[in-house]
Amino acid sequence: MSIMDVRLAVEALDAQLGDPYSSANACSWEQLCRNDEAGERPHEAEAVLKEIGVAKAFVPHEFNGLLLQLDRLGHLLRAVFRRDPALGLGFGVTSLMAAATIWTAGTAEQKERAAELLISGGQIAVAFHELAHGNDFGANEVTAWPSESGFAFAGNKSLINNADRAELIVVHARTSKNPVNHSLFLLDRTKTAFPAGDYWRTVGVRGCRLSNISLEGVTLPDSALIGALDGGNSVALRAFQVTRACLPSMAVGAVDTALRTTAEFAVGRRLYGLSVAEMPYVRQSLVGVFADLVAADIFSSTAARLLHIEPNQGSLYSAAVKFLVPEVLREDINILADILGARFYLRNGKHAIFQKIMRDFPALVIGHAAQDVCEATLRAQLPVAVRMDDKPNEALQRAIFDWNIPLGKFDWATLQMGASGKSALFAALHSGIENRTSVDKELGAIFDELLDLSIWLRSTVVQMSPRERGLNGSALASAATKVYARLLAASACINRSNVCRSAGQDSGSNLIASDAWLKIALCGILGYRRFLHTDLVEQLNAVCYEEVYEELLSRLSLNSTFDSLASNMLPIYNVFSNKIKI
Amino acid sequence: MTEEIISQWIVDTIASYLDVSSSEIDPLQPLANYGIDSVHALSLCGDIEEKFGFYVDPTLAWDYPTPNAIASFIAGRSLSS
Repeated sequence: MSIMDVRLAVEALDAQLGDPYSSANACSWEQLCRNDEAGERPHEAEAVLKEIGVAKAFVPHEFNGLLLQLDRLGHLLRAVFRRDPALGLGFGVTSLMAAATIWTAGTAEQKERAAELLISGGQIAVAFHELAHGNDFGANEVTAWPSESGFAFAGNKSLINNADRAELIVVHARTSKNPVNHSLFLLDRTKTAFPAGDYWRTVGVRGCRLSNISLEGVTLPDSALIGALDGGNSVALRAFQVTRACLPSMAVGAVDTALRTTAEFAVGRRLYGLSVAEMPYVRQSLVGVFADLVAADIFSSTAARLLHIEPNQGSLYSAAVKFLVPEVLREDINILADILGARFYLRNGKHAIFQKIMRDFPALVIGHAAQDVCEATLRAQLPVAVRMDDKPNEALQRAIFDWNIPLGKFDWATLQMGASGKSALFAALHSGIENRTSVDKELGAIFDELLDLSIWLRSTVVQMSPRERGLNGSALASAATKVYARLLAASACINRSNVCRSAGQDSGSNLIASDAWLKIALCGILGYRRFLHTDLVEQLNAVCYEEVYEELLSRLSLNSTFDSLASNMLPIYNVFSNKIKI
Repeated sequence: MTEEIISQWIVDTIASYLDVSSSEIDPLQPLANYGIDSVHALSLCGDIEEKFGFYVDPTLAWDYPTPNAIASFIAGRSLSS
């Protein structure tokens, strides 16, 4: 499936979700804000997703689903996140997390049961979280022990999305005193009754229903075990690499809508005799967010492709994406809020979706591995992370960065807990820079900065002791981790830009191929645009900003998405009638 | 490489992590007794890969708790590969 096919699939999905501006439509921003105001699940929008069969995207092909390639999963679900992040989370993403553990280690019977439920529009809850332990699931206290009829349980889980309605629940429970030995179980509600507690009231994602589960006195048969006894943490650490890479890619959709809402406002609003968008600060901010959004798409999609190509480095790539992308996008939403001024907190009117996204988005930043957990995963493995070949394999690089090269179906068995081998993405920073042709002075200066940072990183990591990389490690190790994640993002952007340049395909690719976008995106990745007003930023001349701003205006007027696909959100015809292909 | 040499290498590596002398690490004692945590376990995986050329899961330090047990596992793995 080529990128053009992916774009058509996304447009087909958007056509079925209907006009986001039409208040009568269940999947419109106005209706989804009404659901949010009422603090209720968006039932009508969920019914539309169910009718379309969106959850098929979570189910591997061999179980009658549509899931083959992980990068495409992100692109498709982004359409739902453009409507409403809470809809994306409530309808699907926690089901995907739960299902990922089943696709990784479940029995054929468990996989079939999960596939059937998801395809019929049902949910699977993922019950890891205990309030006392957060992301530190190695410390979880819910316990399971062998009993006459299988396993008996004691303890409670907290803040579990969809616990009130999910027909299946993946439960994480301690099965040994050893800290690495928990197990996963598939609880089938149609066979085992258990109570879900009251809903937790939340500031954001109010369309999701989070509640506690009491597992006191619950017993499950031996057949409920997912994977090996005591192997639950290994399964989770492998399976969640997929969801940690894909969730940020989906989250790009929420920022797409935040940018659209703000840009529409800025273009239409007149102050001091000119439109808000004509003010240099505003224009540069809009362009900066647009450039970041495309970079976030490229980095997360690249990581998802790398899970196919280099699964031995998956624990690094997925942690780097979850570490960097949601945080950068959250900053971008704050920047947009400054432009919207008083309108950013209005709960009705045509910009109301913005405040909803602003409240919902932090759930995507902290949920499913917060910043500190991702940083610790990276920090501990820095020596492996910076291993690279001097001469990267060209065919491998093409497979990573040329999104028209199909990767086939994802093999869940290839993921491993820790990283090993060498990093093609890290090595590709150097080859991507070498392969760039006609590099002007500004781009050359940015490349020099990146190369200097990469040399600094490698020499710093070599001298670092394991203690410095530990949980209460040094500030230097923390800084090295940040640099590493940003260099990976830069590598993805430069190499993807090079591919788009040589192919020269369409509007989305033309932007990515341009020096203007690459310079602005790389300055964003380096943190220069916002924090350090160095010479580099001064050199990013107005021409760069104008070029990218023209593209932003063009996409706004054509109702095209701001991501790398530039798909049409209001397609006038539905190319696949009622069938999504991905 | 004999099991004994591998075990000594593990003792030396762990001692360097903990910044103590190798003589303070007993190859028959569980590493957990010395305060080995998940970060040390990940570091050990990286170092084993560098030294012996194959990947091991970070659960190794729990599945084979002592330097001698890890050495025996690595010797077996080296032979089979």
